[in-house]
Amino acid sequence: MSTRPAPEPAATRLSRLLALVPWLSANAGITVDEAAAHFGITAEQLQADLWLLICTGRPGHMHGDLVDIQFWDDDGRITVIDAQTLDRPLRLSPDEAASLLVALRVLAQVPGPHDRAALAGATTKLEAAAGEALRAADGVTVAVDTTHDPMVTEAVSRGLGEGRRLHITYVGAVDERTERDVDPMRALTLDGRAYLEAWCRRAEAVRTFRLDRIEAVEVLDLPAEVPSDAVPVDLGAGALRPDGPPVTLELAAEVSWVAEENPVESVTELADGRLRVVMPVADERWFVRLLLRMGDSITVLDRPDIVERVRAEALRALAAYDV
Amino acid sequence: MSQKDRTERLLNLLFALMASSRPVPKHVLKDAIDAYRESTSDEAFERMFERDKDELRSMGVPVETVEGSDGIGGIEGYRVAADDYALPAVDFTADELAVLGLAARVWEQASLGPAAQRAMRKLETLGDGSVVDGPVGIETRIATAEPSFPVLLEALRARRRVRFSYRKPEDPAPEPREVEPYGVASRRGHWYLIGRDTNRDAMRVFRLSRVVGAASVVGAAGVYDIPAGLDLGGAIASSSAGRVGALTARLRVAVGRGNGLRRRAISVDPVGDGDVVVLTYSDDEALAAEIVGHGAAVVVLEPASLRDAVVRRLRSAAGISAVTS
Repeated sequence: MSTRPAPEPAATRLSRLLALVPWLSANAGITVDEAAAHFGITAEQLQADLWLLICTGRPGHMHGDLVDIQFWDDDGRITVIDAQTLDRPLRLSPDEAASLLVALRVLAQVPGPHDRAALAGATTKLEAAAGEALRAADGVTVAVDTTHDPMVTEAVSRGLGEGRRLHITYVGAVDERTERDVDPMRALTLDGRAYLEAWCRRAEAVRTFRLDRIEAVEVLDLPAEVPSDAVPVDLGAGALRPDGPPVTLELAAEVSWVAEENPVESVTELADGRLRVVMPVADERWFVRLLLRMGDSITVLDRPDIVERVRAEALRALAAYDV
Repeated sequence: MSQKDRTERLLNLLFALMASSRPVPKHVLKDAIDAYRESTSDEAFERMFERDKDELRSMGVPVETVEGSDGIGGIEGYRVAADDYALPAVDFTADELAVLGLAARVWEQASLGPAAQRAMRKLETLGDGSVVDGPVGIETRIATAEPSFPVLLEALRARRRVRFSYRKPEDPAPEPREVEPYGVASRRGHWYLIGRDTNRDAMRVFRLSRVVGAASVVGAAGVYDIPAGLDLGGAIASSSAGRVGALTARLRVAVGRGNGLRRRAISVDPVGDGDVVVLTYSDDEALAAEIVGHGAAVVVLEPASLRDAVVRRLRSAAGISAVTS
């Protein structure tokens, strides 16, 4: 790293030190490199932490009062000899307890081949261990979309669990019904919405399918064959975000939510409360539908061809009404 | 004072507070810890000690203040009871730890991510020491980029009020709000705070992305109760469309089109070169917006109110201004 990062706050470092001692005790003989990787820090940082720890202890700081950790042997292994009173980790803080409990409760509601018994066991034990922090976790709810057909959920979980090919009837975002054979890879739930990630044999590519748009599914008597070079969706970088040429729009204040619901490249606030937004448009058919829905509360600044398509479609639809 | 010195001082204070089951008087702590003993004045020591005590408490260390028994309200000393300090001993099986690892990944790259990782490092010490890979074939992600999250969780734990600046979508000037949090809930990627707005004396739903700057916890702990049986998910869902409707629409839908509408239909009957689709709904404007998106492929037969809403939207999209007199 070329630039020196800002020093972490003392509380952050102290939290790590308090977690480090019991963890090292439970993982006797682990190496400096392994432990550093597990805590997401460099080996140098870990060694500095250990040096600091062995200078602290009960008042008096006589022999037998200090934390004693051995970590300077050539094999790089760490041995905790005396943890003093730090042999157990500090109880969970509200955000620590909430992060895991809320996630466990969400996992209990989402489709997938995960071990439901282990999930229930972990939840019960963690609730017992959380103490007062449980009150923070109980105040957090994540709504999981359950508009998909339970039969679809069941078949998808079975395809994943048993490694079998699925035949699905799917309606995409632009209202096209297709039938395809897919080899399931993962059950994904992103911000409460459930998807199947699969190798699509029709597209010969990795595709994600919203479960609520799968109209029918059949578990085939064939093994799933996902090519070894199939790349799973990167869930980190704005997962499932469409990419496409940018279009510049102006949104009236009452439809400012369009800029919150959709990925945008930039948002500029104009004097009258309107927003100027640059939005990537991956699929023009999807975009025409959005513009039809929003009417004159959206103005497209740089794509007269799209504006004309929207106008023509609206006039064609109006012709069906006697107005 | 470097971060290293401060970390070391906090750690030594913690050891001193845990070393005895009796409360430790402040003057004893001053003598026991180098940095306190070497402070330039009594005031400097007092300031340092108060700050350190608050810092430990903010990390969740239960620093107890023990009142003296002399009846004049003095403080006898401070202590940290080992049983209050430590995470209760719970044995997780390897499978349970694996599923906890899956749970920790739910917040990857979200604001609760570091908290989930810290929690995992603690829980791993309670298992049999083996670190196992999580289940495959499933991943769940929840986005939170909300800086107010830890503050709201602490407020919920302690039942304290929060104060923040809030911006309504149609009003660019933020307003100060003071709220007793009942819960936070996420729906379709957005986070909401549900609570009693103390100035309006009513329950309100706030979208966290419209909180300007950071929220802060104010006032005493335990000042309110959460109404029994409150349904957080219901509170935010009722502020948006999507409920089961009492109205019935008849639509003419072109063959192979309007598949989202067809899925919710009560009946689909072929008529001429399309289908008549009947469905129930709750809000003319919400359904009209969806129908207009299909252009000429979906035409409203009835009711008139829905038909009018669709025609108005189509005129707007076609650039035909509403007639003004």
